[in-house]
Parts: sequence; structure tokens; C-alpha cells
Amino acid sequence: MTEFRIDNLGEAAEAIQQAMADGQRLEVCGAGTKRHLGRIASYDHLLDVGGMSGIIDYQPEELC
Amino acid sequence: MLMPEPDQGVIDRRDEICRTLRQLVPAECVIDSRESMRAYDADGLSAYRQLPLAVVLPETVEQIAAVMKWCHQQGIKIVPRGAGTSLSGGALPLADAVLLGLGKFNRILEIDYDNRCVVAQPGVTNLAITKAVEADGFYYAPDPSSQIACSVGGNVAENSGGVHCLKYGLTTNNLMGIELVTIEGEILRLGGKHLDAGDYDLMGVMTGSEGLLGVVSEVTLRILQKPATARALLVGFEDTGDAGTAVGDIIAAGIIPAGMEMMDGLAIQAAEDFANAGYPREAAALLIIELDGPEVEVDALIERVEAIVRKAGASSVRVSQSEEERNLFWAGRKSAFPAVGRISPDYLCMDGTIPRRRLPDMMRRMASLSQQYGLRVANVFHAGDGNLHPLILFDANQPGELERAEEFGADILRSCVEMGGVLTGEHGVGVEKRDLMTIQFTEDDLKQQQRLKCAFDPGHLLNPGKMFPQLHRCAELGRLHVHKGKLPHPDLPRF
Repeated sequence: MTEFRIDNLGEAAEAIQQAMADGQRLEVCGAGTKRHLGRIASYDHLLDVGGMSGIIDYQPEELC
Repeated sequence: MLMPEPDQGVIDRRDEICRTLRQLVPAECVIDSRESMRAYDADGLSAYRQLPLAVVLPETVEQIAAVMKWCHQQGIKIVPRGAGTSLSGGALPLADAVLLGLGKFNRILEIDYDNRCVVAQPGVTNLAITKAVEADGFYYAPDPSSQIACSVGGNVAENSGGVHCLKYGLTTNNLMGIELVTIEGEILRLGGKHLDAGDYDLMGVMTGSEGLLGVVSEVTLRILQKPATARALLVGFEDTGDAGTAVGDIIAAGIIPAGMEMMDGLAIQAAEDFANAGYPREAAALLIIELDGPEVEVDALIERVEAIVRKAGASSVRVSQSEEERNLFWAGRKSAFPAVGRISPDYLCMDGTIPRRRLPDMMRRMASLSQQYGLRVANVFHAGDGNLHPLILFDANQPGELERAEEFGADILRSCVEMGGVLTGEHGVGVEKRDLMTIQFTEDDLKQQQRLKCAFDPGHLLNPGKMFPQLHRCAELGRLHVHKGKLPHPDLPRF
């Protein structure tokens, strides 16, 4: 089981395309706070997106 | 407007098809004479007309399912229709398609105040929902201008908006459940009287799907308590840029008005001539801002909003002192479209959305395009959410003016996307903006959307020729990721 730490969407796309091509299952994990809930499943790789945590923009007049 | 090539085989079988339809629904629910079908040959995008193969008006959901199932087996296309008020050609018929009208589904089935919802058939008009509950102090918030005529089923198909959607959300935010019929004739229920449901948000997928994924046969709508009071401000500006700035400043101050509408010079004058609402004729831009809620809150917000608009450079401010005055402020805006109809033989009503802060830039761009095309444009906006309705004035009797108006409109929509906005605010894509979809979406985006379509309707029988500019066969879409080589079927029709 490999862990891919993703820092941007481009890296995420590459990892997903590779996994699709190889028929491998991906677990996507942010902060992992709900990981223990629900059905137990097994995966081939972990996609760690927890690092994608910055605020990119703030426009109060656009309500976003 | 290029539409899919009609299937002559289906057209040749018209009589036999109508005979079978008359076995699936009561005989009088099938309309097949040319004269009678004329009433269904267009929707609100009236420049485009086409007689359908036949019109079917089912009375029960079982009849809808039977018709769809049979058409699916026979490979016959279906164009669903609510009230036919779409402004983007969503209900434009095809010569080889059955026009499936939901007009007979006109009953409110249940009013449930405990769960704050109304269960209704899709052919009920939007305003009828409010009328059914207003005596008890409730209403249905999404209020498109066509609300006395448009159907709630159509509202789901288009994810309709309206003046009060700034504060209360669109159809999707006020929809709790639907029943729908798939192209294979299966009846599905999504959502219900509860709040969240688990699993995928298929209701979100269906809302705004413009008749391409299924036919809505019942809706459960959220109703709200009528606010204690509402007051409005009528604000004039000498510069449209200042009006745009005021809009952004109000939102940035944390105030979400119940409605915030803007009109520019030409629209103001036309509306004032028609409605005599007391609009400042010399103003370059007019804002109508409505605040609703408890009286104490409304009075406090009115003061804050007045201060903000004066700081932004308002040249005139009037605050409504009575319900009559508030309605008078709105009278001009509500009659803006017919009012503009008096100053021009024809007009094209466009619909696009931009980030609010780009309003001044868009006004300048439109003024310059107006010069370039030699056609006047009157502007009416849902300024609060950046949704523009430029009305391009022309005369259809002058050769080439319709085409010039359409090009002008396409340039406006291109500008919307350029400025970080989108092709449609609330009228939908339909046929009107189908061929502009590539301006906003990449090929990957469009293919992904089409895969969703293929999951519901792989045979492309539901409302073909709408929304997507290029037809992709479903089989090839499914294999795109794995086969990195050339695509099969390279010569698919493009329209």
C-alpha cells in the first residue's frame, strides 16, 4: 500500500489516472476524522489530500 | 437552429404510432391534427417552431410510464413539456418526437404545515403553490417572473430562479423530493419530506437537467412563513459603475436583501412610460432593494443600506413608507419586459451571469457592443446575484437584424464567461445556448456530463438536440480513460 501525498489537482489527476490504468483501488483521505465509521474496505493506495488546506481567495462581495 | 436529423421511418409510421398511443392513454389525450398541434409547436423562444410527431397529455404517472416504456422499446424520441414558458427552447418539439405534455397534472396533492411542505403535481403553476398556502401565512419562495404561468415541474427541469432567490435560494434549495419516470418507464422517488438523505445527490442531478434525464411526475416543495414585513428602497445613480459598486458593498457588509434588482437608462424610461411608478427618468441606473423580516430588523437594515448607497454615490433615494408604495416601486421592474416591447418591434432576452464586481465592466462592454452591432440594448438585472438580462432590440422585418441580434447576444455570453461568469443564470441552455457550451466547458467537462446522460438514457431519446453541442455515442464515452488511442466513430454529427 503506497501513500501518495497530493499537493495540487494536477498530482491528484496523475495518481488517479495511473490507478485507473492499473486497476488499483484508491482511498482518499483528508484529515481522517470519519475514517473509523462505516463499512471496512480495503484499498491498494492512499491518496492523502490533507495538505491541500490553504485559503485561495476571499471575496465577501461575492459571498465566497 | 440545427436539430438532429429526423428519423423518416418514425415519421412514416405516424398513424400507427398514434393508434398505439391511444391504447396507452385515453384517446382524447392524443392530439395529432396539425391545427391542434400548433399550440405546442414552440415555447417561450418563439423564433423557433416545429410541429411534433404527436402530442400526448397523460393523466396518471402509470400512463407516463407506459408511454415512455413503449417509446423506448420503439426507439421513438420524447420531448417533455410543462407550461412551455422556457426561454431557451427547452420544449422545442422535434418532427419525429412525441411531445409529452404534463398539463393535465394540475393538482395540489397535500399541504403539510408540520413538515413545511406542499406535495404537488408537476403541471401546477409556481404561483398556485403560494396561493394555496398564503391564507395561512406561508409562501413558496422561488418566484420566476413567469410564475402565473410556469409549472413547478418545469421549474425543477430548469432549476428556476426569481427575484427572491438571492436570499431564499433557487428551486434546488427549496425542493425536498421528486417522483420521476425514466426513459425505460421506471418510476423513481428521490428525497421526501425529510431534510438530508444518504447516498448520491440524484435530486441535485435531476434539478436543472432540462428534460434530458427523466420526466418529473410529482414534487415536494418547501414552504416558508411569510416575513412579518417588507420594505424597499428605490435608488437612482448617475453612473452604472456606482450602482454596481453599491451592490457589492451591500453584500460585503453582510446584508442579504430579499431582492436587489437593477435597471439601466433605456429600461428605466420604457418602464416609467408604461407603469408610471415614479422612477427617476434621468438616472443612468436604478436599484430596487427589498429587505424583509421582523419590523425591527427591516428598519435597522434600511438605514444601513441607505447609508451604503449614498456613500457609493446615489443621486436619489426613496424608502417605501407603505405596502402600496413598496408595490409601486416594483411595478416598473415587473413590467419591464412588456414595457420594452413597446419601444421595439422585437427583442432578444439574454441571460448570463457574472461576478457582481464585474458589473461596471460588463456595462461598458455592452455599450461598446451595442455601437458595434448598431442595435440598442436595455438592461434589467438580478443585480444581487450578478444575473443579467440584456434585452437586445431589433426589427425582425429588417433583413439580417435577427442574426445580428443573435451574434450580439452570443458576444455578451462570451464576455460573461471571460469575466469569470457563466452562460446562463436561470433560463437554461436548451437550444439557445447549446452551441456556446464549448465557451464555458472543456471537451473533458462536456464528456463527463454526457456520461451522466448516458447512464440515464443511453439511446438519447429524451429531449435530443438540447444542451450538448456534439453527440457522443455512449459506448465510446465509457472507454475514454482506458483506451489512450484513437476514438472510434470520429465522424459523429456536430450541430
